[in-house]
Amino acid sequence: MKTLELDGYLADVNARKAKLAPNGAVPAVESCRNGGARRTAEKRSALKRADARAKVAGMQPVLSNY
Amino acid sequence: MSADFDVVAGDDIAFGKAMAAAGFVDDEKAMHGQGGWYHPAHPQFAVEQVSGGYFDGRADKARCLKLTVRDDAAIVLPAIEDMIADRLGQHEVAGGDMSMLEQARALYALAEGLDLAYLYRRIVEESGNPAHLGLSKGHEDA
Repeated sequence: MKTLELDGYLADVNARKAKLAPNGAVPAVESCRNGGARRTAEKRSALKRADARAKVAGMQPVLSNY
Repeated sequence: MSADFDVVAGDDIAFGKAMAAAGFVDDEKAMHGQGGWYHPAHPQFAVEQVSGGYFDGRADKARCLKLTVRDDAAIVLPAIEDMIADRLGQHEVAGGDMSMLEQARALYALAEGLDLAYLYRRIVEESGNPAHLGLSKGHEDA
C-alpha cells in the first residue's frame, strides 16, 4: 500500500487544482456536491442530526442535501 | 462534500473500541444497522460504518492510499480509480443527478498516475460508462 504524508498530499492536489481550474478542467465544487436524491432514509436522518448538532454548538453545518 | 464519512472495518468490535478511545461517541440512531459515531469537538460530521465488503470484493485493497496525519495516526482511502468507478456506476442509476458524474470528472482531472487499465475494468464492473471520461476499450489492455 502506498503511503504519503497528508499535508503534502493535500498541497499537491491543491497545486494541481490551481493549475487546472482556470482552464475549466476541474468541475466546480457545487456541481460535485451530492444532490441527495438517492440517499437512504437512514442517511438522511444521520445528516439531519449532524446538521442539528452543528447548530446547537454554534457551528456552521456542512451543506449535505439531505 | 457532505457531512458524512463512510468507513469499512473488518472487525466491528475493535473498530468500535478504537472510535471510543479516540473520543467519538455513539450516534444513537446508527445507520444501516451498523455503527454510527460523531466527535463532540466536530459535531457537524457523522461517521458511519458501512456494511458489506470493500466495493463488494471487486476492488484491489493493495491499491489503497495510506495518508499519515501525525505520529502513528493515519487514514486509508480507496484508490482514486475505485472512487471514480464507484461514482460513474452511481451516475448510471442516479436518474438525472449529475453530481456523481461531476465528482468522477473532478477526480479524474486531479489524479496523477492513474492505472487506466485498472480504471477501465473497475468502471465496467461498477456498470459505469468509461466514455464519460473519454476512455475506450483500448484502455482495457493499456
